[in-house]
Amino acid sequence: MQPFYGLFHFGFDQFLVAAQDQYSVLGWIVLLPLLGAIINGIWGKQIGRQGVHIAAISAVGTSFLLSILAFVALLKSGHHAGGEAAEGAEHVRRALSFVPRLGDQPWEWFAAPTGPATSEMLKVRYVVDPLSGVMLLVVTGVGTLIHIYSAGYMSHDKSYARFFAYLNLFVFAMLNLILGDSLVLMFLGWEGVGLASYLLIGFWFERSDYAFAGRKAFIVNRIGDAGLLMGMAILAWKGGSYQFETLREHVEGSATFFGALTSHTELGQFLADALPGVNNIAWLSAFLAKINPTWGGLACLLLFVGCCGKSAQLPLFVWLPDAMAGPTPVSALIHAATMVTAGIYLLCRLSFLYVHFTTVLNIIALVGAATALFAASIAVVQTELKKVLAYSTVSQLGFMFMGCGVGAFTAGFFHVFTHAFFKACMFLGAGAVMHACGDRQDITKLGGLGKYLRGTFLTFGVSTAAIIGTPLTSGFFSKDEILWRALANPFSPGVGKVVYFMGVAAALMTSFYMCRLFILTFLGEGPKYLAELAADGPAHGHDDHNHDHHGHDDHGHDAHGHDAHGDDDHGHGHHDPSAPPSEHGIDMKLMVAPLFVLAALALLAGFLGLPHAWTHREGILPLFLEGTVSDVFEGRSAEVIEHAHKLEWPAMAGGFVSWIAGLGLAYWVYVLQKGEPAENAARSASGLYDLLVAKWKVDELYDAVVVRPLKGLAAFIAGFDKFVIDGIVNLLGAIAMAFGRILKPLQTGAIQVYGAAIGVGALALVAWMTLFPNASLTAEPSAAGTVIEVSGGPGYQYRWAFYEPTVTRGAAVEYVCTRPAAQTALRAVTAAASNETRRTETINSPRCAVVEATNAFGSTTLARTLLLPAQPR
Amino acid sequence: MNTGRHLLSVLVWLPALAGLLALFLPRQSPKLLRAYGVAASLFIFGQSLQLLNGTGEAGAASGFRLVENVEWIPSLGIRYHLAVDGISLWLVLLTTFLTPITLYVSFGAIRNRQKEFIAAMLILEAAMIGCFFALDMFLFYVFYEMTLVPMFLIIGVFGGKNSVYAAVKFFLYTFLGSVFMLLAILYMVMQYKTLTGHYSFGYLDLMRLGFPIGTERILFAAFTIAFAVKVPMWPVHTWLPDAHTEAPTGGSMILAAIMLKLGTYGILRFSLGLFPLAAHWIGPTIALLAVVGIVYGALAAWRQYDFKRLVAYSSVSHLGFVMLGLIGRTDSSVSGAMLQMINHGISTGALFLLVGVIYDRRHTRDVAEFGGLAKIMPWYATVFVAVTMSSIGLPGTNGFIGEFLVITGSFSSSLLRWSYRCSSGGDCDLAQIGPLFSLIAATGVILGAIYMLDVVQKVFFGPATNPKNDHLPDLNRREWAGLAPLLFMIFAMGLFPNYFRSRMDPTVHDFLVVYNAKMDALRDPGGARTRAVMLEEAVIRAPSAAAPAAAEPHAALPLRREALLAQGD
Repeated sequence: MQPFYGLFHFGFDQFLVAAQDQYSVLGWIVLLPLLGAIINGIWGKQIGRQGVHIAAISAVGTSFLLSILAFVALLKSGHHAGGEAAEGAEHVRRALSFVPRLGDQPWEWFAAPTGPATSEMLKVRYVVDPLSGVMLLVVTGVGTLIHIYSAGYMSHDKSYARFFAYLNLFVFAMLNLILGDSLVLMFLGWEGVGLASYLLIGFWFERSDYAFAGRKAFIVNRIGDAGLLMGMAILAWKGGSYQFETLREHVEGSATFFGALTSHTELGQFLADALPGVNNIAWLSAFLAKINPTWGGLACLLLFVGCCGKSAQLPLFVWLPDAMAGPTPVSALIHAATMVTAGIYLLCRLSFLYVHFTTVLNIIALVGAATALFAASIAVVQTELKKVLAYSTVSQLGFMFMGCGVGAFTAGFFHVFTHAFFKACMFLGAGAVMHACGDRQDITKLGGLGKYLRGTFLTFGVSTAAIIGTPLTSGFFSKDEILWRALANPFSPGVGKVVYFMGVAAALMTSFYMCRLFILTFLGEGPKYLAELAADGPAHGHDDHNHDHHGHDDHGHDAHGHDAHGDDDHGHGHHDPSAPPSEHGIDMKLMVAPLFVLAALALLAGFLGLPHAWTHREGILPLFLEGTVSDVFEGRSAEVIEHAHKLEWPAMAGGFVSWIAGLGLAYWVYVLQKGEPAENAARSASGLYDLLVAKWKVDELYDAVVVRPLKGLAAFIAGFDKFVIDGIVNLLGAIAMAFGRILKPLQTGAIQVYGAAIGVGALALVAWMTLFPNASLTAEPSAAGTVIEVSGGPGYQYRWAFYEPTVTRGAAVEYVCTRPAAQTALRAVTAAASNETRRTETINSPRCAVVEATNAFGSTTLARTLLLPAQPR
Repeated sequence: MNTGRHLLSVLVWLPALAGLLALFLPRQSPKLLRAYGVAASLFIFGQSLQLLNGTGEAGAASGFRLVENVEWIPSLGIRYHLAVDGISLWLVLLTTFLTPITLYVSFGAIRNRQKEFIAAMLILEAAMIGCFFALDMFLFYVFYEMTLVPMFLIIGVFGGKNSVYAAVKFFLYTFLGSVFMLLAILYMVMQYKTLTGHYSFGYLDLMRLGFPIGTERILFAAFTIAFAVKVPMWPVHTWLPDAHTEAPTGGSMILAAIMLKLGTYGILRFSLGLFPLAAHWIGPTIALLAVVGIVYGALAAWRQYDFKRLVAYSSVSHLGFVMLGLIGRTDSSVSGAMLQMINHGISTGALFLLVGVIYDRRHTRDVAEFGGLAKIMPWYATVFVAVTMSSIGLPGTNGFIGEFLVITGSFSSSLLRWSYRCSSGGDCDLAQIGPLFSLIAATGVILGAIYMLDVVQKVFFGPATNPKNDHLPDLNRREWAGLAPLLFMIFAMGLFPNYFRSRMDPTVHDFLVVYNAKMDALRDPGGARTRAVMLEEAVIRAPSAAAPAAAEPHAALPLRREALLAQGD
């Protein structure tokens, strides 16, 4: 193995500027969380709780500080494209990169194929550019806050070190995902975060259903990953690279690769050839002719399947609600702020490709809109704090995909950015509520917490305001941008309008259910569980959450009752369960502090993307991302863009209406009428209500359509293998045994008989070899001439002869040493047989050699060979 | 020890000698025996590392190195011909790497007849190494059959209660398969004799033979059936679960990690190397069987209750990947298949070792007996999950690189095309169908996660319900010593695969160049060839391999060039 020293050179002069691939700060940003994970994973028990969180927080915190440094360096590294002056000028692609070195070589990971005979060497290369730079700040920044929070939240957990090890591992993988310069290195991060997510969802693994939830997440993600793999394979084959920058060059600058990706005949021809009989099925070939698929489109679609898995879109969203089994900081960091946005991140990364495939974009927009609406409808009736937030996350991710799908990748990413803050803040707030209220999260049992948990109340309120799109909060700006761009969709106006109205409807529902959640949790009387406790007597206390710990089978479980986890391992340390919740104590202080930071960001982050309609210029973030993230408006005429800008105010009106309507409705239902209209509605439309509570029974559907048939098939195969395939084998064995029985008398078991048999056999062999002589000729060139050697056996005598070969002229000249000619030649030889086994001859033209070998019994055999003149080397 | 020019012989015969010597050690001192076994196999491993000398640099020889080529039975043209190249190098190192580990961990469970066990393992090692080095078909066949005997004893003597059935099944299955191979070898030697006037069992000689397409297909089938049984390919795989369940831990490890690779190695070296046209003709079918194996093995593994059967079926699935990569016949897919062979050796070896850990403690392999072990044996659970990740191909572990290269490599393979639409042995300019196979193989990625995580869940998670498990000790020092090198390799190969690939890729590349050249030379669209022909020496020499290979005695026979002797006169 190569020496590892010098993996990272770290020089202070490299802080702000560095040569290509030499910006080692990036290496440390990635490496530190891994070191943290290793320290806590191996020595967690030894270094004590304090050591654990110091190691973990300082790893991620330092990584965050270095990220700021990297970001500043990025800003300084290239000249800003500079507002309107940059028109027509080429975008400056700002990027800093780093390749760790092994000894004196750059770390080359492996060569991956880009075609039958070509491959591309993939390095372990990290790149920070505007897109990854922003994401880097979000991941390490929010990550650091959540690490601090976790020190409070997990303070009573037995597996403290394991938790932080996993959390650090997650950050490490996520950094690979965003900084990796190729699809494959990104995939390492992509699956790595999947692993961290699996481990963290099932963190309290003694609860089977939690562990099931983790496994479900991993497997559903793997379905997406298979799509991603296939997409990568196509992109590499037709687009010629795995690296994002090279791919961009190929798509934008190479007619060959662009043609291969966008040709309308190649894929159709392939399908017709590859799938036997596809041409005989009329409707299928008609369908293929109609959609006229391209390789590039297929690749984009397959990559999107991967995004659907990771970012919980229809139809692969089912794992995310169950993922709430994990500790709440995990839900905030992984399942709201960072990992689940990886799909959008990938689309933005490859936006230069996606803009060319509008059909795929339409599919993405519709999937996003449908998911937004679908998940919002479920969130309306859920009563668990984290469940509502989970479905809300799915719904918001749908919004982001809507943005990408209408070609406004920057808008989608802007929503990633703002969502990270307000959703993380809400999850952490929910965690604070649970921590303070003995792990209760049923909102019908809470209420009135505003009085007790002032900090949580305030920050949760700000985040709620942001997510529902209250004007001037961050959510307002980012959601508005998406809705506007949907309405102004330049390539499929029809789809754009449909998506817009679906988006407005989803926004309205969001506004309603988030206000409902906020009102039921923090306003009004309560908390109600305290009154119940008082009525039941204190003995009931902390155990009451086991009531819904229900039986389950392998799958299809709904992960009910995530409000509870194993008491043994994760007590929140409440001595008196009937005491009102409070924010006192070091745990709560550690937890509430990050909330304020996040709430402030949730409030203010939107100003990085003020709408064009207000300022008549591009927002700061979109401008910053320009050149890195493509947009369908690029290269369109000024009229089109102007027309689009005219739609900004109408679009904003829709967003505003949905905000005020949802808010007003929730206020009327839950504050003015104390929830009565909701109960009435649930009663009068109980079918729909039950369906919504049961989450549209999607899990049950999957169970019936996918899981059970697959299990059935597996069981069938296991049986088939045992009885049919192995049955045939055993049957053949039995037949052989039957023959064996016939021959059995031969097998006496007497060693003499076997010995005699062996002796007879050996004798026969010797007899054969002596009675029937065997000889062969070999020829080797040497300085003196060609050495011809005959190999026979002991006691052989040889007679040599040389003669001319027969020449046949077919397609080529062939020289043949025939047997009759050999016999003729031998007859002419008068010399007696000798034991001469070797001769040296000079060969100038093709000749034949023959040797007659005679053994001790006088039997003879002939050996011939053709001798050709030595060819010059 | 400086083994000088006879390194390969030393590597073959040293384990055999050490194995025989073990039989003469006193049975009364088990400590001495154990120390002897481990020390001997470690010494052999150390010697085998010399194989790496001079590899990996730019311009290093891709062809056969360290050649030992002397006459053995001259009248039959049988030679003692050993050599190593980038294809056999890693398989040999895998063998020498795993043998000490296997021996060491086996002493935990094997208390009786340790002496015989050590002897059998070391002789088995010798035979396997011999298989990978042999370039004479007769020598190869001898080694190939020689592997059966010690493995038969390991399963039959040291195995479980149904071990005789399993051992006999293993023996007959693989032996019957290889009988046809022997016949095919003899036929080829006869043909060679007819064409040149003398016998040769040399691989490089027989490689120059070109047959009529029908004959080539029959010969290909004879070789491939023998190797397919060994791999094992679907549907001739059923000996494997039985052999694994009955074998002791060490036997399972060696069986899965190395003996199965004799099959895949044979397919690459001999089936593809000797019969390119037939392989091309049947290629899509083999690819189909390979992907069926991937899916079938994974689904069958999911429904197993016996831990070892589960791992056995997972081997069927993993080796489907190897076969797909080999038959993809691109540089990347074959290189991926080679890596996957090594990966499978390491990961599955580790899995069997891990199964052995709880088997030693509980004497059951029934998955249902366990549950919640993560709490009782946390380090065991951690290592198990790490190995699981390697087995399901998580990036960063070795499993990923192999699977990825096989999937993407066979995806763009230009040689996988439906042959039923081609003229016999001729060209066919039809669509590449690699993507179809690679798509099915990609579902194996999902199914792999399903069955492995399912068993992880059943064994490690949930409440610890079975009181018998309550006091199981975590990994002991012996087990750690066995697992640590395997874990190291899992990550080393996942993060630095280039170290390994740069030492095999040139050979793989040249192998495929020769493969294609031979296929071109033999192409016979109308099926006009009615008798065997000898190909130009140059055809089977890759351009970059020409220089070093010319030093071999066998290469220096330009006089035979174009020699065509009449048949049957």
